[in-house]
Amino acid sequence: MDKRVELDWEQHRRRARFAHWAILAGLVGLVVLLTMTLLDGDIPSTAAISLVIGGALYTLTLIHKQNRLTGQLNDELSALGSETPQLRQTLAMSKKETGELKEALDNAKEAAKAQKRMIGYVSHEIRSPINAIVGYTEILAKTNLDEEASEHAEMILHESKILLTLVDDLLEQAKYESGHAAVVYAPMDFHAVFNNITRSVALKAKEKGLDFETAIAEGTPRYVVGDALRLRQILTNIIQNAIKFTDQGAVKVAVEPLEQRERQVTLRFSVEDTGVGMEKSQWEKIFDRFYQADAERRSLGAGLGMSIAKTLVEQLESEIHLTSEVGQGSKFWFDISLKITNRKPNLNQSYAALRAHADTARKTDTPIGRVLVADDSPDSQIITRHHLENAGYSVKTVADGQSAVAACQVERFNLVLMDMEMPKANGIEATRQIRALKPPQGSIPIIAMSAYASDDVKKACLDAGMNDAMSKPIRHRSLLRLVRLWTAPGDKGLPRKKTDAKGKGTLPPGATRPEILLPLDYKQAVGEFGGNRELVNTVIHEFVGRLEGQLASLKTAYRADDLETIWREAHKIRGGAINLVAYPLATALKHLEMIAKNGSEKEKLADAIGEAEKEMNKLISYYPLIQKGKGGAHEDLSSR
Amino acid sequence: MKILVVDDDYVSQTKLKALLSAFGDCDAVSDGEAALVEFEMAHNEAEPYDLVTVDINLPEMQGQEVVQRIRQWEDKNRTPSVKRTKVIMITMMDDKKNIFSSFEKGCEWYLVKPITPDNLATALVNIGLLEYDVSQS
Repeated sequence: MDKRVELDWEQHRRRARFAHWAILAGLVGLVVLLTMTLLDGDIPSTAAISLVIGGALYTLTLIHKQNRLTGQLNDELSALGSETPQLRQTLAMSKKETGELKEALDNAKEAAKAQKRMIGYVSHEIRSPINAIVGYTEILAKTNLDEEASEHAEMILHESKILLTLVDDLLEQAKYESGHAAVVYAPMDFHAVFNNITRSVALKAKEKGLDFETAIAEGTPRYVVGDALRLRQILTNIIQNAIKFTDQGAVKVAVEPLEQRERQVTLRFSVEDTGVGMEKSQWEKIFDRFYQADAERRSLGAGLGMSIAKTLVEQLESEIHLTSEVGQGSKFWFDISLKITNRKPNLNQSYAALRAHADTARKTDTPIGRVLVADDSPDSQIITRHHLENAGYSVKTVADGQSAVAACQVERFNLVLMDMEMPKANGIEATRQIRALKPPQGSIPIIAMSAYASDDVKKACLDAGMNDAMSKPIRHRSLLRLVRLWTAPGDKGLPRKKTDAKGKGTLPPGATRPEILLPLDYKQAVGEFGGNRELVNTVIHEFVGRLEGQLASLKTAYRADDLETIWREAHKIRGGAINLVAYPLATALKHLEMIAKNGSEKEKLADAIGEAEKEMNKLISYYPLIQKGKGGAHEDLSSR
Repeated sequence: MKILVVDDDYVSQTKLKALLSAFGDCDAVSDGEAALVEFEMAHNEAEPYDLVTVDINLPEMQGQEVVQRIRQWEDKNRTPSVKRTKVIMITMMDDKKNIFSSFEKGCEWYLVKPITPDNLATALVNIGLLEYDVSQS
């Protein structure tokens, strides 16, 4: 708008300039002609005068025209000027209105949220008294009532159960719409989950005398990663709806793979019934809240089931389709994409995932794995613990490298998450120490966590014997990916039980192959005893001779649950073993000591005593070789 | 030099005795009470021990208590002519807590098993019982 005003001004100026020149030229001409007329009063001057007058008149017209234009322009300008504030005002008003609209929208959204919260809250509050009513009515109905009272009690029971279903549905709806329940992906045995779901609703179909058919099409992968609980709720709601509207015939539930790429499958779930069906105009309405296609069938719920199913399917980024014909029946179907896994999830894991849903699963009774988190930052500790526990792992946290090493000696973990920058032995140092431990502990997978995620750092981690590295801050997804990868049984060389006594286990990358230790290093022992072979022989003889009795007292103490004696005895034997350079036995005893000291469960204790016994027996059978001077590398002995 | 080895483990005791015998007369006992008796008797006979090695983990009286009691006795019966006995604590637990508390109780040195001629010699040099002759090495 400003630009246009400027252009008009430019035009006006040009015209004004032209007009000035014309007036000036006209005046000059007039003066010249008048002078000439005054001087000689010639006839032709009359013509000249008329010319001049004509010119002057033209000039005047021009001037007038110019003035008019200027006036118009001024008018326009002033009109514009008076309009601008108006425009501004309009603009401001529209802005204000937009703001108000936005605010109103926000308010509406907030109100909707609040309403949902309210629904959730009220439902929850209503639930407890209804439960009480149901409970007491049930008791009442069992007492000696006359026929009429009994009938009334049954009525109360019936109605309050309907009320309870309604409230439960409302609660569920509120929960899912508020987004409180996050989608939880976990490995599941799909076939088992599917059968479980269908079995749980089959009874209702049976009660109505319906055929209930389920089918898992061939080629449906068995182990997939998905949200089993959501799947259950979706299917249950749709199937219940089908049963509700079917009086005779059958309800068929089927699943088939539509499209399968390498690690991904799209499954089509369908629920088909031979029920009342509905007109096309009703198709969409069925997903509306509280919509009841048939008011007489109200008894089975609040009409929320399909709405919940729709919400849940949408959360899984899919949608429910349907086709239906009055009197013929309906068919609902939806497609869900799932990741395929070749890993059999253990049942506990699936339950852990279910419990994670219930928000109550801070600590599951049967964790899917035990993880040691070594990190000196309390924040990181909390975050890591939170993620892992929610995923079903049990977690122990320590704040420095030394404690990490100690924890590995005492307890068995499936994995160690090791921060790189820690007091008292950093991640590298602690890893080296852990790698120096006996196989089950020493070969535990270790993942480095570092704020400096350069390739150099990663290389340093791997060189120190770590298995993997991840960068901080910790991201939920990458954390769980790595943890799952390294705790996966078998796949990635987790030495869980793979390392047997014969040392067949795979060494973790970066770990140096340990020397095969003799039960006793005679040469070294002689050196340590100041070269006195005779004395060493006597001491070995004595030491080995006592082992049997000591093992017996270890076992006695074990049976008596006497941890103190076990520790003491093991410690004592270890002192001798160390001084005789019988390191395998010493290591086994150290393990036993740790377990006894920490009051671990009996199973572990028994294992540790068994280990010690094994090493003792090795030493005992090795002893005659020493005596005969055939103890492997003990030429000293034979030269004696 | 008079040395007392206090160790209940047969192997350790024998080893220490074997190694320390090179430096003087070496006695050995298996528990704390016996150690204190020997210690006091040696004093009474005006032939006190120059060195006592104490295993930290003894039956009945723990090694640290033995050291503490030795120091208490010395404080009570101090004479200008008698030097304080050197004590080496022998242990398998090389954690800071044990090391610190052992020094607090009054030991001069701390040895983690296995005992070797090397670490024993190092200990003796450091507590001033063995002259380290540079020309020998």
